[in-house]
Amino acid sequence: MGRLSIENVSKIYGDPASEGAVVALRDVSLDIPDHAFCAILGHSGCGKTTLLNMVAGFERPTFGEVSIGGEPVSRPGWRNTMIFQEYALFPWMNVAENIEFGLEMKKLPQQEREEARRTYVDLVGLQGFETKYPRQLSGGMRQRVAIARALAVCPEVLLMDEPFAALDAQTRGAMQDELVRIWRREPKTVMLVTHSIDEAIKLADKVVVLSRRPGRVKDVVEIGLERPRDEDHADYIALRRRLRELIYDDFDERS
Amino acid sequence: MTAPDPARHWLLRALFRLPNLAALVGLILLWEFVASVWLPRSDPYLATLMPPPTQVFTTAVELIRSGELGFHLLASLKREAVAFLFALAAVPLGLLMGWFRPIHAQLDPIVEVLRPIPPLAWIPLSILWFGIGDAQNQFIIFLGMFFPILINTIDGVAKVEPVLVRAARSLGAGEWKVIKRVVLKAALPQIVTGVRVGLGVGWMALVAAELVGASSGLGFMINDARSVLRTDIIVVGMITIGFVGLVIDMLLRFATRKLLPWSVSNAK
Ligand SMILES: Nc1ncnc2c1ncn2[C@@H]1O[C@H](COP(=O)(O)OP(=O)(O)OP(=O)(O)O)[C@@H](O)[C@H]1O
Ligand SMILES: [Mg+2]
Repeated sequence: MGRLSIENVSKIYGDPASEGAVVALRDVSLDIPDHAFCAILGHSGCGKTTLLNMVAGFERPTFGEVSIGGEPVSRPGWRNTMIFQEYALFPWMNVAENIEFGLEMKKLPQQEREEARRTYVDLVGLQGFETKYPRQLSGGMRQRVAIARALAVCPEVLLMDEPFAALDAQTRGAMQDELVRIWRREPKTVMLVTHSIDEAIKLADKVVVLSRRPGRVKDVVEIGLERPRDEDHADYIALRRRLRELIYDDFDERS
Repeated sequence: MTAPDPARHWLLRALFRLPNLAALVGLILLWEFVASVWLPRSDPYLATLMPPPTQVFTTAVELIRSGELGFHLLASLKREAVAFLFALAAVPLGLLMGWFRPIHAQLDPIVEVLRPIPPLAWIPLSILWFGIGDAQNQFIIFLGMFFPILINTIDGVAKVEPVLVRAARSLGAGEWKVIKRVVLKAALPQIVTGVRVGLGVGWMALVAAELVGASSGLGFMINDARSVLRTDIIVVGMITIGFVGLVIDMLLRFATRKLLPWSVSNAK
């Protein structure tokens, strides 16, 4: 259902024939099985956001195709929902209204909407905050609302672009644990962009490493560790070293 | 700066200790003295052109008692309200112009040509078109309101955070829902600002339109009083015009705080 396949996708900004064209991604192919958690790692500007935007339906690949469950992605919608770094909560709606927004778009009847809202408020631990407005919440709480809002529409693929980058280190750690807990309760195909090797190892089943621009898939590393993951475990340390080498050996490759 | 001059220091301190309305009360007292003591002695003709505050006050009471002031005020308010209902068309038009590039490209030149023409410059033409009366007045007021609302709506739409639009789309919102639930809502504080400016400009245009093309209303009242040299009525009318303009603005600000609480605290 939520199998995400990216086939020979390239993205070129500007006219491909002209001098100023930017090749953001070149010939990227990925296959992410249903309910797998996949992290994308890579240098700044290597096309991570571009890749996510194409899966979310905000942009179209110049070449190649993105499909979810065998159906090509042509536009944004609840099947491929995105969670943003800056939360993107509607400031004029309270927590409950924000979470119910997508359900309203799906035209769910009022009663089901309220039930779903209650479920997801519970899931992200925001009981008692339903009538608060986004500005009254802390960064971590806002991101919880954004997660609940996205999960409530039952997406087939959940996309996150550096969702915790705006949080302080402590909150970020707590939110990572939260995300793992939520994802295990409610498995979804997840694609998460991050700059942090630790975040990738902590959260993902698969870590996709992109090369410097133009982004290509350099390697896909399977994280076979039990959750919750122990940073001091020998396998964890080995994975961290391996990913670091993958990311930083670009210079050797060029010369 | 060097140490404060002791005399200035003392003066400043005295200034700070004055009650809030001291300057206003002082001005009224001076006005009373000039109009009822000084002018009648030095230039009796000029004195008739400058009614003292006490006389303005008794005239005001008289005009309120007889219902004349209420009648003209109501006529003006009714015109302002009717024109406002028409001018609200600027909101959907502004949304369309702000949201759809081709519509903006087509209509913006027209707006830019019409907008700098002051509403008052339309008075002669509008009298020929509509004759003297409500329709002509409302047309002038409408012009005064329309452009501030339109410009602010377009601007409000342009400033909607793109990530909010993306979020809505990503949650399954179609084009119409995006406009109604996100763009309109996000632009609302700025639209309300446009409405505030528009009502203010409209109120000024109203008085001007009534001066020349009406047989009721506050503008008519003060112009009519001029022809019989009743300066006291003129002053009562002027004060009423200013006061009502202030009340309209305050009401709108109050309504904004009640209806868009999130926007007010965002602005802080
Ligand atoms: N709309 C656009 N028009 C032209 N070039 C673009 C556009 N969007 C992105 N690019 C270019 O494509 C490349 C990839 O950008 P992208 O935002 O996907 O990188 P990223 O990996 O997400 O970087 P970061 O880690 O800094 O977020 C960059 O060189 C960027 O300048
Ligand atoms: Mg990015």
